[in-house]
Amino acid sequence: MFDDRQREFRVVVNHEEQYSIWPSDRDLPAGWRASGHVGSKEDCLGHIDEVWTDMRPLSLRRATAENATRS
Amino acid sequence: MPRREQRPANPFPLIREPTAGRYPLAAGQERLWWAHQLDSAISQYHILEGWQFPKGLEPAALGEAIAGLVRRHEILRSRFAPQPDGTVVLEVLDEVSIPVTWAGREWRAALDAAATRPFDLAQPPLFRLIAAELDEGPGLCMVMHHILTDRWSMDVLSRDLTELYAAALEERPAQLPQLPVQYGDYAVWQRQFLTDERLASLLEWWRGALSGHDRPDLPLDRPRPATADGAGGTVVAHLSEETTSALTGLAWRARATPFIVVMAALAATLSAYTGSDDIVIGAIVSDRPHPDLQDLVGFFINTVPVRIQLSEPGLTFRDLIVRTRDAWMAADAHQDAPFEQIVGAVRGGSQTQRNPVFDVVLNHAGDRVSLTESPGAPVLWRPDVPTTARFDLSLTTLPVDGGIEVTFLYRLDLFDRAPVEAITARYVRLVEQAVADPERPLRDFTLVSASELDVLHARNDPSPAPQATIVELFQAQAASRPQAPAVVGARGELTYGQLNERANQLARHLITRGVGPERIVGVCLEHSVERYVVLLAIAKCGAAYLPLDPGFPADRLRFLLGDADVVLTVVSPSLRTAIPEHTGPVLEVGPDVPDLTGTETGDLPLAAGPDNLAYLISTSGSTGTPKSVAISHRALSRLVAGAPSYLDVGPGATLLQAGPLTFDVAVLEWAPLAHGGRVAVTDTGTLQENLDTVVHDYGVTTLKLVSPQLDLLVERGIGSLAGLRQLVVGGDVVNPKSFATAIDLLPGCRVTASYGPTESTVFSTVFEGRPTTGRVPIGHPIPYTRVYVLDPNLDHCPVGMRGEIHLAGDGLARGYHGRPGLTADMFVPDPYGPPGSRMYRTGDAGRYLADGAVDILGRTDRQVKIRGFRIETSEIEHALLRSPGITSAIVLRAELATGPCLAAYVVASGPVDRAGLRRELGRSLPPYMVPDHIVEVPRIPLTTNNKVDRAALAAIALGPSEPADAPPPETGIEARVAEAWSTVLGRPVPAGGDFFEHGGHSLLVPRATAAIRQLLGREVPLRLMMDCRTPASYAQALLSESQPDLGAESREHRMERRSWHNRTLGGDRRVDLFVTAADQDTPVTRALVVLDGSEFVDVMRFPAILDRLALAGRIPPTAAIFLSPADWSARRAELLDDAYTDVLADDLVPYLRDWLGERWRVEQVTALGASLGAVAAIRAALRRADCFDGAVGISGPLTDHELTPHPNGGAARPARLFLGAGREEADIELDDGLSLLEATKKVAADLSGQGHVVRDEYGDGGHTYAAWEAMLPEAVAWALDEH
Repeated sequence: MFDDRQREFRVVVNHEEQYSIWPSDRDLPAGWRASGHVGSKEDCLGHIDEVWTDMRPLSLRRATAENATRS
Repeated sequence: MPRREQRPANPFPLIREPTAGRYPLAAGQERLWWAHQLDSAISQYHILEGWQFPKGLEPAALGEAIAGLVRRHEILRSRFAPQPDGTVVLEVLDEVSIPVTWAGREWRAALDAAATRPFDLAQPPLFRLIAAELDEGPGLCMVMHHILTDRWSMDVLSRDLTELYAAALEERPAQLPQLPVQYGDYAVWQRQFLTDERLASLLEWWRGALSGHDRPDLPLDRPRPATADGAGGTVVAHLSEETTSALTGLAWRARATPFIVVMAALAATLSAYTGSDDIVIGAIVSDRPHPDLQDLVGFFINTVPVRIQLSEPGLTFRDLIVRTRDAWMAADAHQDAPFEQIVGAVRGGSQTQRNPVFDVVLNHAGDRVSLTESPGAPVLWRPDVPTTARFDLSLTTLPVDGGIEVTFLYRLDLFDRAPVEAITARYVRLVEQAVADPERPLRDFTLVSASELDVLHARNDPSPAPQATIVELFQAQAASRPQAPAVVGARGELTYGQLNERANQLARHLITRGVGPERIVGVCLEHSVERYVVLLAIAKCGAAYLPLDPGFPADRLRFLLGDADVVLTVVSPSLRTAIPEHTGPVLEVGPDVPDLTGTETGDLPLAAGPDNLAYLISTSGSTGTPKSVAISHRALSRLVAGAPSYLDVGPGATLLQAGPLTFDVAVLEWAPLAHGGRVAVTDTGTLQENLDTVVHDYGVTTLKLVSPQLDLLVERGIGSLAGLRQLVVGGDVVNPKSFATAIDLLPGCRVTASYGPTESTVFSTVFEGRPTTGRVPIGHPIPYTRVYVLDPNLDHCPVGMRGEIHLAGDGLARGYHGRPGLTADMFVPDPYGPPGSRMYRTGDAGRYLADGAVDILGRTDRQVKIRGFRIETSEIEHALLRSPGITSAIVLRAELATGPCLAAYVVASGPVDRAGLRRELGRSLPPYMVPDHIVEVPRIPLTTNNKVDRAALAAIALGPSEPADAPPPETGIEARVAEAWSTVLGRPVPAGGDFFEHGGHSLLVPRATAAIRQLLGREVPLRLMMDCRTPASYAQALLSESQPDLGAESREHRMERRSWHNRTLGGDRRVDLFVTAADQDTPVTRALVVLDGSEFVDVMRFPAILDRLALAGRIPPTAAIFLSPADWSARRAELLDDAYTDVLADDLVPYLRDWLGERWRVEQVTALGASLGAVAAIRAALRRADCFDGAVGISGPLTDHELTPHPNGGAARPARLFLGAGREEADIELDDGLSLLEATKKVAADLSGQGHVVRDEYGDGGHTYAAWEAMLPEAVAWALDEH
């Protein structure tokens, strides 16, 4: 499925702001939302390379930020 | 819509030929006859039918009925008579008596015997009758060979027998339909229509229809055995009345039949199971293409390959039905081509142990004809006998009470029951859903039941891993057992307390160097206890470490350090130089540096949370750039917290893992540190050599190895590790032989196989137990881990179905450090896990075993494609490992100037017989999977991460390839076999050429074998061709049975072989010398120069003949020299060349004299040969009378050649000449119109007239070794006689 070059994918994001891809013609798995970007796998991965700049899970980013403000 | 081809009707009239008595076999019969020749002991072609007689069984009436049945159906009194040319005919006898075994209550034993005892197809009757006393009353059971009957015929038999029996009881004539023709007439009629021309065009169509089909593999539970025992098992399911009526309705609406619909569903099921969308099914059809055949008993079954393509993303069931219908109709239109011929045409029979062309058949049966309704009439009785399976898997669908009974029959030697149950369940579920909703894409159906998934996923653990980091876990241990040993290595031991304090000190120092959460520290460390101080200190700072191998090239290290953006690199003093310049700050840490005396030793506040990075591990990327897997503390805790459930790491345990720090298995060392156990650390270099010493010295209880290390250990004797409590082996393919050896030789030691990519933190699954599938399964998930085997549509695979292994749970990496796109590609949404969770696509192919354990089948991307074939290299590796001498094997695709090829790198315990190994592989693998090169290596090289170093292997130069097509025949017998086979095939076969690869098929085997039998004059089993498929191997096998039967004690000095080079003739040729006198001092007075020597030595056993003649005093002490041609293709030109006789006289005889030395007292020299050799021998005697005193020439085409080319130089003195021929050589016509027999007589008379002493003799037989061998004793005794 993920290695199908003909398929159209969409960029998806979960609650931790981790990115992935999912075939356009299939329902989104629970806990994932579409970022709005649609295209070939290559295209989607390229997009993710651009937008997913901080790979730390969101909860960690938040916790770190809180610690920083506290100290 | 394109016009569909129709099967043409046979234009010839089907007529009765009452006087024939002998008929050809029908195509299907020929196939069964052949199968019987191959293995006559097998009872899988026995058909059974029984009846109960509610009103009692009257023996006299039964006898009369049976006699009537046999009178009525000629086939029941026919024999299959083999002909000398290897063909077989159906001979109808006037009478055959049919004994009935009256077994009474003891019928079970009688029936079992009748059902399993082989039939001799040449000896009718080919059916047996057992009369039984059942609880319900008398019964009669009939066991028949399939070659006489089919399912429809059994209904005919039932009806006929019932009526004949009733008629006999009532003393009236039986009322049965007239039989206008008999089975033999059908066979004649069938052959009339199948002209050579029509056959050729049909085969052309089949070649096209099956071309490019890449035969998919069903995942087997056991390696395919060399011989099938035919034992079968069945799984039965039912389609409800409702489903059946929907199915029938759908069939008619799609202008198809229920048969097409059940076939379409089977194709979809097989496609899912094999992962291929190009499926060929063998359709078994009853074929009675003429109304007059309806009431006949006989074999009217055809097996028709149907190729169905399923490639199309949104394929619906209705689409598939249409495709299947069209595929079936096209195949049906061409079904007159006999299956065996199709096999030959597409070269589909090259795997001995596998059915040609397809593995799975479909048998859709119509309703059974009900027997007479009258009360008291016999009713069907199905005695329970062992099931036999003729194919890997067969589906039979049978209408029963408005529904359809679905039976999957499988070979017990290939499959377990559970996967077949899963296939059956999936099949039924597909039919149920698809007939109800035929417009829905097939991929949208849910074909695995929730209850099945519950079983398969029972061990999936969705719970979150404990939050405590390894720092907390370790500190808790340090607090409760400060005196307990934590790590031991070459430089001593550290207790928990010491390790904790030193780590606290170093951590405080590291913090001053900028080390903290989400920061990365490069580490390049010796195998010493300091390693744990460093790693623990980094963790205490909340930072992550990136292990570096000092052996890495500077460029790679520079890349890794830059890529990870390390804040500091910690290095052992001895390894300082390994770290390239300008890669940031470096800190040396050793036993004495840095000096932290006075630094506080108490625990630091916890710095790392569960989602902070714990470490990075770099792995090689497919693009060539390394990538680093980023693992969080949560993932590490998931490994460590759950470890005690599968790893012996608690107090009292000592773990040793044999990998470097750069290998993620090193992470396992946290497990004992978190649970109170101890870690042993040592240099991997030492490990390879004296692992047992290390294990003993450090008291290792728990040892982790990668599978090539285990292989090495097994080879050296794993018994030295006795006392170990647990052995864990993982990485690459675990060798099942080594695994089993470890279990056997380490009693009391838990032997565990582990599996897990770095991306899921070291381990994902573990397996314990004895592997049964020929592979070591990877087992069940470890705690906090989920494993899914998913099909390409991301649906769950049922038991047995091949899919890709996906991993999920808290063990998943955060991703690839600094590679968001790659991370998003490999870590994808998990539709089956908690909301928002991800799963990792491993790229490993696997399937579920019945208990939910996962069986790994290889890499999905380790499939290589060579010469158009898709090849799973692990399959070849497993096949190699099954060979006794092979301890490790890696197969790679190699690129050579001549194109891509397969290279196998093997480690063997003894010398490797490459040819033998290749032969052995050829028995279980298709020819294209037999490696072109087998390279022996002392050990499989490993990368620094202990993975197989494929690049290093690929760099090993391959020798010249060992091609399947060997050079021209080397021996006479080889040449004759090649010639005979070439004649049968109508195309040349080289000595190394596979008969079946050269267009041969099983029906040609009897003919090819008959030619060889003729040649040798003795029985040769048909099977031999299945085992020895090239002329070279076949000839070798023939020779191995025909060595000269000399007494071994005296043989050595009397039978000698040398290689002889003659400049005039060219080439190195084989010469054999044989001296009849056993005593080495006895002088010899006779010399024989034998041409085509190897044929006389190897095939006709001439030395033994000479020996017997000498013992009997019929010849004086004789030395025979046997000269073989250097090249059999040049033999003819050579034998007919004058220079040849000169070489015999001037070079060979002097050579023989030298060879004999003192023993040479030769008074007479005689030349001897057969066929063209006879011409040369006689010519030598006549032309070189100065050297030769006479000749023996047998079966020479004498009048075709000038015997004395130079009349002037002709015989000065009379020669003693023996001329022989076989009486059957009256059939061989020479150029001048004389037969070979006549020519011999004429030449004998002519030579006698010229004053020579001539004797001519005519024996039995023809132009064969056997005839010549029979003539030799008399000929030689006479020719060597004193005169």
